[in-house]
Amino acid sequence: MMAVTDDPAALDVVTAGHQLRSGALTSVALTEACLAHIASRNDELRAFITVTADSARAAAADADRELASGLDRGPLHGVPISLKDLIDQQGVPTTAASRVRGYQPAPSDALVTSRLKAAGAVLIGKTNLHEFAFGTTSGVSAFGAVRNPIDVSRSAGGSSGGSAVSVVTGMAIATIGTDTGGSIRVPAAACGIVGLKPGFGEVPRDGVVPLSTTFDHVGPLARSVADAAAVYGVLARRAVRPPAIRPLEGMRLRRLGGYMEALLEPGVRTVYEQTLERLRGGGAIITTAELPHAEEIASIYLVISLAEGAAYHAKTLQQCPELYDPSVRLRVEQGRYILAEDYLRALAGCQVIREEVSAALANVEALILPGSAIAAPRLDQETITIDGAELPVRGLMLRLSQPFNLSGHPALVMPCGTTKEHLPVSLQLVGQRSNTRALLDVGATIEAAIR
Amino acid sequence: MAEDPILEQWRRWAVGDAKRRELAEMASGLELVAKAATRLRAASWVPDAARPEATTSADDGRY
Repeated sequence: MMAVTDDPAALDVVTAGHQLRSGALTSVALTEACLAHIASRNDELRAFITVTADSARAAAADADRELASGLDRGPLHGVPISLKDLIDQQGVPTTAASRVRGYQPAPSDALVTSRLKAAGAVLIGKTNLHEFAFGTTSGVSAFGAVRNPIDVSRSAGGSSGGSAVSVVTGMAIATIGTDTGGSIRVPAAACGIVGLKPGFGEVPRDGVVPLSTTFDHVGPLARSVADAAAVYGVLARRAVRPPAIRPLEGMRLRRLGGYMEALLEPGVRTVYEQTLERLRGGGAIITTAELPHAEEIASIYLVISLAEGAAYHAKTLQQCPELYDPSVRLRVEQGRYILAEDYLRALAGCQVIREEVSAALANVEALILPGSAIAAPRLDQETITIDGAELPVRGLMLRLSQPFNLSGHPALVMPCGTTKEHLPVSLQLVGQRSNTRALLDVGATIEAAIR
Repeated sequence: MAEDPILEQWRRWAVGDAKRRELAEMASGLELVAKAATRLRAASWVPDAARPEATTSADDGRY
């Protein structure tokens, strides 16, 4: 964690923006502060694969000149942002944390990268991840396992683990990740920051290495809901006003029970229940619902993601299978055996889950559930015992996030407390499809209530 | 639900093929895929050609 509270790299986007405009801070100073954190801790934490220090310094100097001349490109102008290394930035390699892609520079910017540049963001580097996003721990990467700064023996979550670490440690002020089954929300939860998976299709994926085209989303990880909203506005190219904090009194929320609460680590369950109690105490009206087909979610996800992943990787699986990490290769290979009729049944299942999530949202402002069923696991941990049952870490980490990749609804995680071991626990809010803005308002209200 | 004979045949073939390709460690993953496929075949949304079709969407002018 960051040790110095007056460090500019500890500022959130909104506060940094005020200081950049008032002249209390320059983008060059802010960028240097982030680069200093990278220099001091990246070897240990392996958050970044590539640091673009020279181009970041040049962009920061440009931002300072523009702001001084009165040209204001918006809330990210002059703010250091990191990019998950699945997202193309012209002239910089996109490795996907794999030896398969080599270290060749991307020929052009991803659409989200060009939007960030146009918004004046300072792109500070490309962050580490689970190879090709095919995992939840960020423990498998050609550039070494990402370590959680809260406890370096633990996973930072994944697959956008390096992205989350870059924000927690002040290596960047915010970051861009991708989320196929939870890869923004899982690391945000493991590291105790905010993560937003926007609604499906809201943020373009052109120039982003895919995992599963049915489920892939691009979105921000940040230090507050307001920061996530600012970055989301740029990524989705929408005029997003700062989220409105409303009275909690009378806010209607619906808790997802049944499957969604059946398997929670005891420490997570305790903090989650305490958080719900605080919200009720503040006047929120919390009812309960279940998704009737929740038990089928993991099967739907497995079949679609493996089949689509295998389709993307078919050529390199033939040409250079030895360049994949063995665990990732095995997962990708499995997808080659999926039958078309099962894939189609799974696609039909997505529609069923989408309708059930929409039905659960009827007459409430958001669904509420834990951000993750477990706190950050140890990097070498493959199973966790809950209520006497030994369960795979991977399934537990995805369990509460993947439903909304199937359904396409926007989902937001934010920290709500810590376990006895001082590991972050998160809350997840799910909003109406195509109304991510309203979800951000609910999120900001709840963030203010539980802070 | 009774085991689908095609799925069972597929499972045996896939595990055997993985071994032939020296990817025997994939057997447990393929078992997971087989379990998922079995669940999906039994899911309530899977069509039944012997039953009448049901129209559940409103005629809202989309067509």
